Amino acid sequence: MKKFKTAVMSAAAIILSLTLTGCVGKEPNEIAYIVALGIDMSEGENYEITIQYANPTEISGGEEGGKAGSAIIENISVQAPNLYAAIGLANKIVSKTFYLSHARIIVVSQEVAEKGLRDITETFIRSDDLRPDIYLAVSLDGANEYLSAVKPAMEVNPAKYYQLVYDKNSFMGIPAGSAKDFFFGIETKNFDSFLPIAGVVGSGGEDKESQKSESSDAREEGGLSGAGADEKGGGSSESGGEESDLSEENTKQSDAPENERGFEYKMKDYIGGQAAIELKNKSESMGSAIFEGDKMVGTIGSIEGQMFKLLMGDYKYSYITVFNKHTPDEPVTLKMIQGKKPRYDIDIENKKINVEMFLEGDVSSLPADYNIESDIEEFQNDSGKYIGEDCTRFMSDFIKTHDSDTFRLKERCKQKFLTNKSYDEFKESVNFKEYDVNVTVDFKIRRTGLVMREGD
Amino acid sequence: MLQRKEMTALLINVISLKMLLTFPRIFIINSGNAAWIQALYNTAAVFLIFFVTAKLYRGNKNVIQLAETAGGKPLKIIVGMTVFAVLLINFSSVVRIFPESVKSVLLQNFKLEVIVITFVIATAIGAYIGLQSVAKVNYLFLPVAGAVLLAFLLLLIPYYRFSNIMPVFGQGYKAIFGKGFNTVSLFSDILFLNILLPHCENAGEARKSGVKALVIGAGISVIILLGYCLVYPYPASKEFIIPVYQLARIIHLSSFFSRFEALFQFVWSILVLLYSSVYVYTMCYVWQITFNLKFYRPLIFPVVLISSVIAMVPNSMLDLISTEEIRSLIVYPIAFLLPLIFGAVSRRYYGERMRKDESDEKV
Repeated sequence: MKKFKTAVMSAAAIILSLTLTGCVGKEPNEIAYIVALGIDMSEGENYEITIQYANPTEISGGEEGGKAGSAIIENISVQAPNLYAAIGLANKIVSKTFYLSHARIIVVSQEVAEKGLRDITETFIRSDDLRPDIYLAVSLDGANEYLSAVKPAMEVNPAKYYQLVYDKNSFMGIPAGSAKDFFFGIETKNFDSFLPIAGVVGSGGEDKESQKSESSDAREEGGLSGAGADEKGGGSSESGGEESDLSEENTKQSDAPENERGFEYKMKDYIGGQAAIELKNKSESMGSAIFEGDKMVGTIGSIEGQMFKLLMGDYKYSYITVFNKHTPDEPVTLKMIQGKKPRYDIDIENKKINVEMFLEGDVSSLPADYNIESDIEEFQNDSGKYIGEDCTRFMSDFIKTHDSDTFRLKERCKQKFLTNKSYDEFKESVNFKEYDVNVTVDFKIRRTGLVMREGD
Repeated sequence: MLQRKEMTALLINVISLKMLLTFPRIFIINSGNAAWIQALYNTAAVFLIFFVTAKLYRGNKNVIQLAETAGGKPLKIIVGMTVFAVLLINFSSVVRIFPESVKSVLLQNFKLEVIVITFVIATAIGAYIGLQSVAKVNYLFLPVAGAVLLAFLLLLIPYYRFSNIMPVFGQGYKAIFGKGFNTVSLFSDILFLNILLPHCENAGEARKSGVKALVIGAGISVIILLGYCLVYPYPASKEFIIPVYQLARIIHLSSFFSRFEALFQFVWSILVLLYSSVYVYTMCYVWQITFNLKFYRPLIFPVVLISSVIAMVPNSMLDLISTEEIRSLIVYPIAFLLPLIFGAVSRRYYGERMRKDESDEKV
């Protein structure tokens, strides 16, 4: 009996070790890894879905190392009613099987975003393949056009490219754009979202150009751009971009208005596609698309995007330019750091929103022959005042212009209620357009670089 | 005979495992973002029940053995079959939920039947090896699972949003403290302590194991629910079938650490296998003592077969999950009342025996 038991156990061990250690399903070389998906409207009820997948023969392999640029990715476009139907269809076209677990971004066209993203969020939230932290972005030029323009010049791994570009959101004026947060917003109705704008540098013909101009006009009309600086006698001004060689210069760069306010003084308020003039990779991400629920209702530029991040406490650090009354033609550049989250005090009874921000900055660059050390306290107070005023104006105008609660004001009132029922009643009845907004900034200049000049 | 620490580890596993499957959803549906308060309330309730039962209980005979003492063989069979039915209801749902979850998140292209069969074979092997071996492996593995849970909770810190657990009373006091009592069924597997009493050194050791397991099991449940509520805002939180898996999926530390669910699935699978082995063993043991059988091992195959057949009755995962609350409603009154009733019986029996012993001494 003992010998029989030993024989059975040995046979079981051999059989299990031979059968359970193999790969189940597809071998890696039979899989096509999707890194990005693009969704555009097409004729009829279907979407035009662009599947961008890694070209495994060209990325980071072999003794010669990987390639970069367009060689590492391939695009395929199909018409289908949703993402999985598109993948099913594309699987019939290419030899390998598409696999979604490495997908880093879903780009939707402006048209799709305006129609609503509810169907798309429903797909990724049910999917085990797609990650909850996949990025969502809106392309004003069309998703297919954006994905076709992506030619990572410095990356051999295309998924890494998207990760690096969109993970940098805390350093630049684009929102985080996580699909999970977008889903939470539309599902709970506690807040609305911003999504990054993915643009194509110098793309499109007349239609696209006029669309961009309309978009810029709309931002200005909404009072959300850097335009209309009263005290500094500014007003929106379009920089007269050079129109030399269209094949080399970004023709859209002229669309971006130059900011004349104190915060980000003399900087252009870009949205995706307006900034870079790099030739190889014509894709970029700047500015934000505003959503009310699952529908896109407008855009803001990179400067408002930075203010939004500051007001949300999502800003880590970046370089900003600040107006200085002693050198009005040239801004002072600071490395600004947000040490802690802003404090919100929402007074429901008196309809007031008070925001207190805590910022610090290091002087990085200033006009030659100007001694900032002698006026450091004045400059510090003025800078804080400019940032506070600009943020107050931005937040106030935004709330009055849109029904979108991207500042999560409703969510910030949650702790004032004891049960979801009373909170839901408040959510239904509250109108933040009637509220007064006041943003104060506690701003400290900590360092002046490696130099400290004697005061005059 | 099981050592106290082994029994404690075993009870922690059987109590907490439900929280790794679909059970947290019942809390969330009932109390919303205040699910963790409901779990605290259930903990208080179960401690009250446990202390009353422990106060009444005498000796280290389980409810089935006490039923024989109190009402002879017919009562013993009735109680034995009732306990078996309770365990079967609990176990058959795990036999279906776990393979369904594995199919959803790991082996999408596998047939469910293959996963169920593989799972029950592994479970049957565990039960065949015996309670002591399973308890020892469980005792060794539990600290590993604890470390993974701790790492898991720490890695989730960047995703915690305090506003997600506000308003603090979620769906209201009535929901938490009224209907919320039903989720005390989370602790219904404390019945194991009673059934396996003859495997404990003595009643005092068993009591200590019970208290420790309840404290740790309740702590794990509250922490899991609190973590989930802090990350997932209500009502989005009530939509996910396996909340803990959903938490594992969102962990993403920069570009160097993501897909924590792979580690979670490893721990999850081993814990479920240990849990199921204990369940199959206990069901066989209940049958064995109810019908005075010499061996339990020949019962493993029929028990596993019955459990698998019942598990496959619901048409879909949807049917299974929608009946989960009803199942727990059937199970917990029996799981808590039987030890309470037979605790009173044991008191009378042991009291009489003590008085008889005293009078014999006098004579």
